[in-house]
Amino acid sequence: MKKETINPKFKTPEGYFENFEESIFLRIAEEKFPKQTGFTVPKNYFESFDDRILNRATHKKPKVLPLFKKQYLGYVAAIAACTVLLISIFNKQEISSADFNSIDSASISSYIEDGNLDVDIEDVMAILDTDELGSLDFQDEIFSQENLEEYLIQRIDDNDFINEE
Amino acid sequence: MVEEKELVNALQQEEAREAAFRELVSQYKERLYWQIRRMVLDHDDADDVLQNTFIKIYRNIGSFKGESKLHTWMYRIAANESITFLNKKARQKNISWEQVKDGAAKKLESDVYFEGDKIQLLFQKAIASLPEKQQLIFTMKYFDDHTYEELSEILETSVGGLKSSYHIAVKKITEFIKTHNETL
Repeated sequence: MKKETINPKFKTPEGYFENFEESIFLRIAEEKFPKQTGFTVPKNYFESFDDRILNRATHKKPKVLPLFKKQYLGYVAAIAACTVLLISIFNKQEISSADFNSIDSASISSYIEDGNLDVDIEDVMAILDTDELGSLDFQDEIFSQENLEEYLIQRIDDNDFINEE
Repeated sequence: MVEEKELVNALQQEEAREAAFRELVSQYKERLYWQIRRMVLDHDDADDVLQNTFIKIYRNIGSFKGESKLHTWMYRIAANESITFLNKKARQKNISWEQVKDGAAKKLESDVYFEGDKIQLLFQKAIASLPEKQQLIFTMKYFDDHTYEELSEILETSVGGLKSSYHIAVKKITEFIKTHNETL
């Protein structure tokens, strides 16, 4: 019986045996990975895709005529920038020259009535001490007897008095 | 199924273009969708990128010279569009690519279009942690079963470079999963 001999003409790629273990390790690692992603798509997504994309692809864009010629755009932009700058400077000056006395009381009242000033009695007490509260100069027309009575009728509940110790 | 060569010819003729494009969309929409979805993870984002991919194909088919195969060219456009989309998202939100990917992977937990189990979720998070090129190579090789030679044409990278990137990706994913889940 003739013995099989190793054919000396067979060759392997360079570094094949050196990298063999690494390749096997990677194959084993890979086999443990999930085969599915778990991703799904909405119902009929692929069925409706063809029409959607065809509409989008073949949709002809309307030709847009430029409002200004390119050569004038620079001037327009410069004028716009100057206008914005002047308006902002003018507004800043106006704000800085305003003080509390220049605001009329009707504006302050409507500001508070609109609910923009969210301050309750606790806040006022925290800001002002007893002496300052005593020295406040209320105008008679605001806190007249008539106004106080009206305020009490509207705001004070009978139960407030009952519950008072 | 219409042969690729015939399809290219039809796509380059004005009167046959629309019908040929419909055929092209029909043949490739799912393959391209899944390639994109594995990169961007979210369905709506994948839909946007898929539409952009086909629009680009439609607008540029006239200049397609047939130096590569049509499907190779389309896979390349889809890959580029996916990466462009993610980079744009990162720029708009002023965050890094890694943060975009990390955010997208975390969103999968409550995504109605993700029905994966705990391991599949972890697997997606591990893939999302890879750099963009490795992620692209890994997903296209592992899920789409492209050969290294095909990938080399699509991504215009050498076979040796692809093998090396793929192996590094597998190692990183294995490490990621090991540190986050001992059971795998």
